[in-house]
Amino acid sequence: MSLRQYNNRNRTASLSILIGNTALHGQGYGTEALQILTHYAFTEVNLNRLELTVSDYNLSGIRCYEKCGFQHEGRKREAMFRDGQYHDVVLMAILREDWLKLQEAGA
Amino acid sequence: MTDLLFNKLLQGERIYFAGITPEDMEIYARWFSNVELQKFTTYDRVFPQTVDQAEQFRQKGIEQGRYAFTIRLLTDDTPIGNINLKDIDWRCRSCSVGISIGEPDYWGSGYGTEAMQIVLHYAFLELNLHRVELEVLASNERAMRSYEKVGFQREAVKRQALFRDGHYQDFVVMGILRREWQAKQT
Repeated sequence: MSLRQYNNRNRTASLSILIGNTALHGQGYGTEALQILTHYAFTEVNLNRLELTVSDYNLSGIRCYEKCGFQHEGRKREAMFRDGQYHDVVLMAILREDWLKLQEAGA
Repeated sequence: MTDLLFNKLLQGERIYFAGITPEDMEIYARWFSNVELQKFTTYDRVFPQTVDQAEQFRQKGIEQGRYAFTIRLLTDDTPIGNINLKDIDWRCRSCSVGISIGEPDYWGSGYGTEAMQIVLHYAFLELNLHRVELEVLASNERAMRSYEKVGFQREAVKRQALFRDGHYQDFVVMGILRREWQAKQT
């Protein structure tokens, strides 16, 4: 898991996450890791926006990001080629204000 | 006319695309130092650029395999702007495009639209790409209308992605697919 393309001035970064051990998929480790990372991004790194892209067929990934407060911002049509066909790339992001609301709701 | 002109592929009705030469850098530095222009074209801080920095931009384009051009007038070769295809992904056959008309005298007269038509022709029929995308400041309605005219569709809004003029502003992501572009060519 990592924060990349960090931009000091715009206070943005993009995120990538991979649970390498497939036996552990579907047990919420990704969600838990993501909650730790967003907490770190907004309370320590002082970001304003954290974004990511995910392939449209990665439904469990998308659900996990939604759970952690990421919002759908649109999709790049046919931007990814896999298994013989083009797929859309979904753009998602969480803003500092989104994250704060989520904390208030959870508290 | 000019020996810089390669062929009809990179030519429109009023403009053509030429390679970017070190001699162009003086005028690039002037364009890149125009704050009103930079506010719309840079994704980082606005800051006046020197000739050396313009040359670094040119070198970076070469290193990253960009297809970058100086936009020139057909009538007298006057350079009026810059356009480049970058972030080329040969496997997914996609790229993004950046454009700026550097000379304020040529704003609002359709030169950007014409340049975009030429670059899409090149991207789809010469580079054999499947998709071209771009990002534009959400407040730049004039540019978005121009992009829509050549067939780009609005695909996403990146909220608060850029800090400018004291607050965070949105970017709009736009994209066009080869078959959409082809359907418009009659």
